[in-house]
Amino acid sequence: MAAATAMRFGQQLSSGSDLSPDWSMKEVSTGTTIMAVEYDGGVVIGADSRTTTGAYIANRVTDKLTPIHDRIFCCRSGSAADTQAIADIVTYQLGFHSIELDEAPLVQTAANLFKASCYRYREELMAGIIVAGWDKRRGGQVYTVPVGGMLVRQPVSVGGSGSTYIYGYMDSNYKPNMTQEQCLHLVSGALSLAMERDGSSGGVIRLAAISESGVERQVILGNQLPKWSTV
Amino acid sequence: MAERGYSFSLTTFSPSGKLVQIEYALSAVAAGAPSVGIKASNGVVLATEKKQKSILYDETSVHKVEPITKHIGMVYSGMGPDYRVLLKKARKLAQQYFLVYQEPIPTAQLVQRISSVMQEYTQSGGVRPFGVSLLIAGWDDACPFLFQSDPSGAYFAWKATAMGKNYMSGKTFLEKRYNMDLEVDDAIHTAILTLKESFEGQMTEDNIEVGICTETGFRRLTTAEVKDYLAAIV
Repeated sequence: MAAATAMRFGQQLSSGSDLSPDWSMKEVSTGTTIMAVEYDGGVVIGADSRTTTGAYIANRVTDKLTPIHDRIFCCRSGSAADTQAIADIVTYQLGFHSIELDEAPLVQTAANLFKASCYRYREELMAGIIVAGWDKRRGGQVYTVPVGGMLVRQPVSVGGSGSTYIYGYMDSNYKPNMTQEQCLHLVSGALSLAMERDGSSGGVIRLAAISESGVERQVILGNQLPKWSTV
Repeated sequence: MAERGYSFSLTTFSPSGKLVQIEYALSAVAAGAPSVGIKASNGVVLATEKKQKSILYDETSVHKVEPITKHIGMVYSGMGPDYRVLLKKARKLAQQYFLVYQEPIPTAQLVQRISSVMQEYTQSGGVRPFGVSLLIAGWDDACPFLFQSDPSGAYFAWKATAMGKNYMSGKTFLEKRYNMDLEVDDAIHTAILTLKESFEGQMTEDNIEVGICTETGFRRLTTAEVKDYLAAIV
């Protein structure tokens, strides 16, 4: 956050209006809408695919759903560089941990490793991460690690700049004990709404369903997005 | 021998040009439980004797054949505690490599790095060489690899080899039995037979360990699978 304010001050001096283009001055950010939902037997996670440097879309087909282990993924929002670096480090730590244990790691372990990095370096980082996956002890789990480095388990979690537009939708449409199909429907519907309203979210919807049997990934292309508005 | 006078210090050469401590480390390895590695056309097999000193030991809790990554595993002959240190180091090195290069570590790279660690302990103050030789089996892209790493830090690529007690007769046995067209199943069979040559007493699924490395990765065989292979031998 400190880095962002300093940058803005510097920009006021040199930007004038357009002395330097947006994309050379602004940090690369996964503006983003991300979410994850628990169901009986696994989790469904989803994200948009827009990465921005200011107003320029640096990558319109980003993959924000990053594997950490065989059945543990994270959804990344915030600074693209920060979240990639943290995810790589946690992948290292969890890989080492799991091979020593000779067991698949717990989702809670992965979440705590994210928390440890995000909290220790909270002043330098801008990362909002949702950790989700399946393990044999507790089944499907979603843990959220927002900016600042707190950790909490939630049955449903949304994150990123676009999440603010869909809290109402989530509160009214989420019910416990849904099926995997219903969760995929809920997630794609919610993301579609957020991508419609949030300028920093857009592109395609990436989904993943994680369960005991493995990971199934899919993409919903722009022209196939669920439509809400009839206008 | 005039050698004896120079054997107290690792970092002092003897008149004949040897570092006697390393020779002694190799003796510690040669006195250890036998282990065998065989490279087949579609994978690598590692096997070792795991005799417990008492029937009260819970042999399922501690293993000699261990994975380093999904695609590389290893086994040893020599001192168990020294092995565990190197195993942990190897696992860390493999993760570090992946963090930097975003690619699973090639077997030869891992072997080179772990051998480098072993060499450091032959040229540092206040330490002794590791009392183990390692057999490292890996699968990169489409190729199987088998390497041996010695206390000196030297490493060798093998088609088939034996270490530990009676390793010379093990190697002679393998020289006769080995051919390039062996498949993993035959190699497991051959590896068990090689161990049997120097085995005292009855070989069971509880006193040997077998690991295989194929294109699907490295894994230790279950006791049930080992039992099946043993049944085929009798």
